[in-house]
Order: sequence, then C-alpha cells, then structure tokens
Amino acid sequence: MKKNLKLVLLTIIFFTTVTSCLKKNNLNANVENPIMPENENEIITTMKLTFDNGTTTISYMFKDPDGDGGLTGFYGNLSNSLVLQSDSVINLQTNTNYNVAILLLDETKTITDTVSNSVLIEGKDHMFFFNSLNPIGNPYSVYLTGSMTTVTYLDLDANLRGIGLSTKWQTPNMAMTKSFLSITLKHQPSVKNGTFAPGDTDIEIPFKLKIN
Amino acid sequence: MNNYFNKYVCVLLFNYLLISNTLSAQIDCNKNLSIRVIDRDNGNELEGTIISINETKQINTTNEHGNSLFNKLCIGTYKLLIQHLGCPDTIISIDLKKDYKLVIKLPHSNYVLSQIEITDKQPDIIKTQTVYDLKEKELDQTRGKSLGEALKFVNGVTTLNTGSSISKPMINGMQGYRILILNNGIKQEGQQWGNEHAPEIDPFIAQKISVIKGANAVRYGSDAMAGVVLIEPNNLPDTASVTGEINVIGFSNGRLGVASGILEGYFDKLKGFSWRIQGTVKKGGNINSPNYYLKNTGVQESNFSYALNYHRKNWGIETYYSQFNTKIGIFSSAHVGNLTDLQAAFNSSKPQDSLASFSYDIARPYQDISHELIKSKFHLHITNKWKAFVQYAYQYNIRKEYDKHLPRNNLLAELNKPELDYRITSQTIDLIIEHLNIKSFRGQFGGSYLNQQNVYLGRFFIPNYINNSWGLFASERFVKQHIEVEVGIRYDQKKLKSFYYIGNNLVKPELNFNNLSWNLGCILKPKKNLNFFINIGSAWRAPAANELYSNGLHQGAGAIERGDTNLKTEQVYNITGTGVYQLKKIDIELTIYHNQFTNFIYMEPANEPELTIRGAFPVFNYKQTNARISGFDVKITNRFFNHFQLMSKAMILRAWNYTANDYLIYMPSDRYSADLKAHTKISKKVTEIYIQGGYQYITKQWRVPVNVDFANPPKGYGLLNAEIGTYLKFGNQQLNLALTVTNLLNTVYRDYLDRFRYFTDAQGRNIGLRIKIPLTIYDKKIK
Repeated sequence: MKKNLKLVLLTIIFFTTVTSCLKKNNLNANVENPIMPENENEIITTMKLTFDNGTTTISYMFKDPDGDGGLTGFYGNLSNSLVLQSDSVINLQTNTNYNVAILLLDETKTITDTVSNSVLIEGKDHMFFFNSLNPIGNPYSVYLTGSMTTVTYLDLDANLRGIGLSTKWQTPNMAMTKSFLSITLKHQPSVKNGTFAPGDTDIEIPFKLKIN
Repeated sequence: MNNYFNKYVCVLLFNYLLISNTLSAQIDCNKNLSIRVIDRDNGNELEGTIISINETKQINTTNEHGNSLFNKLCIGTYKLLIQHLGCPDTIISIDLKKDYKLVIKLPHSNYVLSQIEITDKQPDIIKTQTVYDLKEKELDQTRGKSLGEALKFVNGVTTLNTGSSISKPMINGMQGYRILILNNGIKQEGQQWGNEHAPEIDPFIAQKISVIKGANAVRYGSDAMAGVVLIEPNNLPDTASVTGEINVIGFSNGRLGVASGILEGYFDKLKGFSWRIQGTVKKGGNINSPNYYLKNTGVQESNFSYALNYHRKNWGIETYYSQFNTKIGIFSSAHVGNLTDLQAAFNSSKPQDSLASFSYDIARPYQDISHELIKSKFHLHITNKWKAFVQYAYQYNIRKEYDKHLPRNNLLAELNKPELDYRITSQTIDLIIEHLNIKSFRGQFGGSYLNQQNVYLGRFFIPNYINNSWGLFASERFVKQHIEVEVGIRYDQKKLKSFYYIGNNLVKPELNFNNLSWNLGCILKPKKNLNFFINIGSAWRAPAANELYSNGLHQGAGAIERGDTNLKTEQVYNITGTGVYQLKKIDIELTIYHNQFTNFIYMEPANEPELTIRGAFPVFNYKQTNARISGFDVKITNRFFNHFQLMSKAMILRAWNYTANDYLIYMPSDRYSADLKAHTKISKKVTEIYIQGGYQYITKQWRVPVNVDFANPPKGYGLLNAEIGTYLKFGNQQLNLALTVTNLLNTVYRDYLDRFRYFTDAQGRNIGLRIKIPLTIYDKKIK
C-alpha cells in the first residue's frame, strides 16, 4: 500500500513536469510563418471626396497605403488623372452649390473593397462630422465659420440621423482665405445620437478649405 | 525510524539556564544575552554561526569557542535567527527578563557525516549586494496589493503605473527589461515590453520577497541591470504535519476582495514527501478618485499553485506548478485615439466617462492574461562540501489586449477578438554546482540555457521570434570575520531570429549578441553593528524584439512606435555601496548608487506627429544614448520609550541623457516619508497591538526633457496613511488583524509615473480590512 502510494506520488511529480493546463493556440500561425498583417480586419486606406457643381467634377483624396502605422499617408487631387498634392487645400468657387460624395476604399485587398458601402449599410452606427461640429436643424446641417460654408447632410439612417456620405456644400459669395477643415468618421455602435462625442474615430483627415 | 526522524530534522534544540532571578520594575536595557553554539553530537564548539536579533537588527558571529555575546538588551521578547552552514535558518523566540546564558546544540555533524538532506540552502549567508527583504510583519502589510505595489515598501523601489491595477516595479528608476524577477527560482518570462504590462505573479505565493539592488548579472543572467526581485515561498515542511494559512482582505475603494489560502504538509507514513497547494481569488470593481468613479477599472484574478517534493538522504526532487489568470479593465477615457482625442482629454478637467457609477463589469478596453510555470528541480550532495542542482522550467504566457476601438465592420466587431494576441513559450535549464567552505572560500559555478518562441495572432506589433541564449558563470567568495570578498564572471550569448512581413515579403533577420559581465563585491565589518557592502559590476542586455522591430500603433499607449534594427547591446557599469549602522535606539541604512550606461535604449518622440487615415498620432522612435542614473536611498529607524518607533525614509534620484544633453524621461521624483508606530504587548495571547500613522510626500518631477511629454508633470503631493492592528497567538502561530487607510484625507492628486495622470485623478481614500488566520491541522512536533 505504502509502496503504491509512493509510486503514485512519484508519477504525479513526473507528470507535473510534462503537462501544461493552459489552452494552446490551435491556429495555423506558427513561429516561422506569422499570420499576414491585417488579413482579417478590414482597414481603410483611401478617402475620396468628389465635388460636383453640376457642370464640373473635382476630386480630392487622402491615402494611407497600409492603414494607420507603417507608411505615412499623403494627399492627392484628381482633376483628370491623379496628381500628388503637397498640401491639403481644397479649392472651391464662390457662391456655388456642390454635391459632395465620400468614397472609402480598402486598397490592400486584391479586389479593392469599397468600405463606404458597408458604412451606408451600417448607417445607424456611423456618422461623418465636419470640424467636429454637431449638426443642427432639419435638414441636418453645419456651418463652417472659417469658410462661411454650409454643409447639409443628404443621407439619413434608419433613425433619421445624418450619415454624411452624401452632402451639399453651399459656398459664400465672397472669396475666403484658407481655413481649417477636418472630416471625421465616427463609429458609434448603439450610441449614435447625432453628436460628435460618443464612439471611436475611424477616420480623421485634416484639410484646408479655400474659396476662390 | 524515530531516530532517523530526529536526525532528518535539523531542528535546533536548546536549553537555557537561568542565571539571575531579579525582576526589575522599570524599563531595563542592561541585560546580557550570551550564546554558546555547540555540535549536538560531538560537543565541538561551532565557530562562525551567525546569530541575528530580529528586533534590534544586531548580528553577531560566534568565535572559535562557539561563543557570542549580546549586551545592553532591553527586557522584552526577541526573535533570534541562527544560521550555520549545513543547517537551515532557524528562528527561536526568547522572553528576556534577566541575563541569559543560552546553549544552542546544533545537530551539525549529523548533516556532515550522514549527509542527510536538509533543505536547499545556498552557501551565501549575506550577499555583498544590497538586499532588502519583505517578510513576516512587513509582508503582512502588503497583502492584498499587487506585486508592484507590495515592492514599494522597499526604499528605492517605485512603480510605473497604468492606473491602480497595473504596476510595473522600478528599482532606482529602472524598469521592464532592466529588472529580473525570479519567481520561485525561475526567471519570469512574459511580455515585459509594454509600460502597461505588469508582472504576471501572484504575490501570495511568497513568504519572502527580496530586492537586490544594483547590477547582478553574474548569478542571474544578462538582464539583471538594475536589480533582481526574488519571490520565495517557504521551504516545505520536513516534519510530519499539515499546516496552512488563510488571508482575507477587503478594500472599500473598488469594493475589492481578495482571498488566498495555502495548505502544506509532510507525510507521516511516507518519509520524504512534502507538499503544498495554494490559491488566490480577487475581484474588484470601478475604483473612485476623490470626485468621481473611473469607468471600467475593475480587476479579476484567479491563481493557483502546487508543489510536491521528494527528498532522500543526499538527493531530492522538487516539482512546482503555478497558474496566474487575470482580466484587467482599462479606464475607458484613458484609451484614446488620435491627437485630437488626446488633446480633448488633456483639456477637460474631468474625464469624459466621469459620470460612471460603481460596477464590477469589465468591458473594452481590457487585458486578459494567463501565465503558467512548470518547474522541476533535482539536487544532489556530491560530497559534504559539494552540491549540485539542475532545474528545468517551462513557461507559457498568453496576453490578449482588447482595444476600446471595435472593428468598423459590425460583423467583425461581434466576434470580439483581441486586437493584440501574443503567445510566448519559454524553456530554461540551469545547472549549478556550489561548494561550502574550503578553507575560507565558497563558490558557485554554472550554466543556463533559454529557448523562447513568440507568436502573434492579432494585429502585428512585435514580430514572431525564436530566442536561443546560453550563459556560463563562476563566482568565488572569501569569507573572514571582518571582511568578505566576492568575485564573479559570466559569459552570455543570445541568438534572436525574427519573422515578420515587409509588405507581402516574409523576412527572417537573425541577430547575435554576446558579452562578458563581472562583479566585484566586498563586505566590511569593522564593528559588530557597522557593516559596509560595496559592489561594482557590469551587466548588459541585447535589444528586445519590440525595440528592434515594432512598427505600428501601440493602442495601449496611444502612439505609433518604431523600432530600430540597428540597435546595439546596452551596457551598464554599476557601483552600489550600502552602510548599515545599528545602535540601541537608532538604525541607519544608506545606499548610494551610480549607473553609467552606454547605448541606453529609450523612446524618443519624433518632432512631427504622423498622419494616418485615423488622424494624427504621436510617433516614438527607439534610440540609444549614453546615460547615467544615480542617487541614494536612506532609512533611519528610531526607537524610543520602548513602545514607539519612527521610521523615516528618503529617496533621491538623478538621471541624465548625454546625447540629448537633457534629463531622462519617466524617472521617479524625490520622495520622503515618515511613519510613527506605537506598539505594545498586552498578554501572552495578544502578543502585539499597534497603531501606525504615516505621511509620504512625493515632490514634483521638474527634471524632465523639454517639449517631449504630452502634458506637463503634475504637482507634488502628500498622502496620509494609517493602520491599526493586532497579533493574537493561537498555539504557536499568530493571527493578524488589521484595519488600514490609504489616502486618509481623500487628497486629489496625479502621479508623474502613472500613465492615467493625463486623463484622471488617482485613487481616493481606501479603507482596508485584513485578516490572516494560521492553521495547524496536525503537527507531530507539537504533540
């Protein structure tokens, strides 16, 4: 009996040294083959703004080729073909109404993913803000003081709050010097209330707006 | 068999003879205690036995006749620690009313002749480095706190905090990779790189926590630059018994509760087997600052460990398993996105989520960490002077970090996957051979090997890597009554192979590092109550994977961090000197240190924030510089009116970056504290009742590099703490009951070394109740 117990205890000692209780990773990643960066989570690499005044269309964009971190983002504009832009100035004409569309892309994927489509589908959890301002009135609109421009939300979510993928910009009848313009996309899952404060920032791009 | 049993236990048998029998009415501090140590079996007088009195900190060594004399002792109860080579440390209590002559019979020759295995003692009795121990009553006072917070009781140790639940210990201003933590003899291998990554250790496994200051690479390996923290359980019992201890602690702030139990024993029927099981559970909710609750600051922890040892005459085998699991909520307003959010957080006087109420719920952002340690050790007495041990350890660490920021896509968000997910597996083997006194020399030789693999499963931040390291060391010590000299040397080699993608291409850089470390130590004992410890040493560390390769957004830090693949080995030369002077009414302990670094690795902020699709983020680049960190820690203990004790501490530190010609960032500011304690013995049952009050003042850290930090350092602050407690004797064990208050005045403050200082005030008043219940289920010794 005593001998047996001794054997049992020695066996416990032995097995303690070879057993581990924590769950190991059973995923296909191993040390010599790390998982590809960002192959699961979608990211946003590109934001395109298209300004349409009924006769001409101009586009501006910001591109961060691998999302946040890694390579630095840069600005560009698109008159006919893409031109790299050294600054972030958006040039608009006085006394004009522009229809503005925002397009979001994930260009890291083999087939470019149009992220703005899913933002629209999940519209009640997302909202764009301009200069971090809370839109007011009906229809929803904000007034950008520096450029005396009014931005009106044209798209609404299921709860009749603005999304901001589609907006109308009304420029003043006088030229304005460069002023600050930030465009922010907030992810506000079940906390969206039409204001800037809740949720997390998915996109925030600073631009300058000049009225010529 | 009984005889064997008696021999096995190196219990100290003593008889004391009463010399005089006069009772004195008033406080009498003129008593003599003379001690003679002899070999129980052959009657030889034992020279070189070290006898220390716990209460007065006096240390004597017996002369060639085995005699030692303590004089001018006050009437009272004293604890004597008897240390002799070949016997485990033994503590005896004496109630000194008159002059005593104590004869201690040690079964010394038993050990030598029959080579009976006693305990696993290292030959060094006093280290030449500066060592601070937290044990017994001091350790009791730290119960319920995290390891980092507990270590703050040691003068010179501060913490780098992320709120109140994540504390990284900092020894003399150095933390992270520069500190080595030995958990039950095994170097802790987790994800140490983040400032918000606390050590994954349950402090309840320790019956003693020691801090060794200064470079100590020879014995412990290359990373021990600033110091070593030793977490040590008691030796397992070696007499037939089942004993235990239960600790229950509650804190008002965060309504935090901790319960921990330990049970250990030695089989009566099965000679040689001893065992221990231990476990801890902890749960806390939102903590409150003086004016508001901090949302999502709960913490949960569940840990357990067990040990099973088998000892034979001259060999033994030990196994140990421990598991640590924690889930820590990160204050949601401190988990910011880009610079705009950061600026908004700095500019608001109250955090955005300050309207939160109390809750135990932990939501995003949070950390979920598990750490597992398996250890087995074999040791052998080769001859009566030579002993060897070999130990193997396996550690597995899972670290999952959940960002506040959910994936933008709701389907991905519902999966609730961690954004950062790391698995690190480490295996170590150590072989050490040591010899006891050969003439006046004793020493240690050995080697160690580490294999480590890191795998990431979430977002890329640090790469996968395989780390293979080995080291060889030798250390010898010359011991005489008034002087001890120690010389040690070590060679290490580290091979780091990393795997990560640049674009779509997998790269596999391999780096090799090797270096020599050394130390030279000396203890001078010009008088019995005056000791000087001087240690000079070098240490180094290879740049870690995150310092070399990290490239991305460190969400926990709200910044983009960039490694540098060209980083070289960091090297330090350290000199630490300590003087300990013990008088009847006053003890003085002063430590002075200087660390000279070449290629000190640190994070330097870039001039311009970086623009990403999610806005601008601050950028930090890993850089190297020559630097110095020096300072001193002083502790003065005054005893007066027999029942009072005043402990005053000061800690002064200066650090300089030579390349930038500026201060080093995140260094502790100067701090001072004073604690007054009144204590008395009521009866044989109530061995101590005490009341204690303390004030700590932390000065403002104005020695910071210019225009580097997000926000200016907060102003200095003072905190008032108090404790009332008692020790009650049950059998031969002590029950401890204490009521504590920290931040008694509910002071509003922010600490420079707390990352949450950017966002919120620190924790307010916290009332704690602590109970320690010892258990003796069965003990053959007592029968």
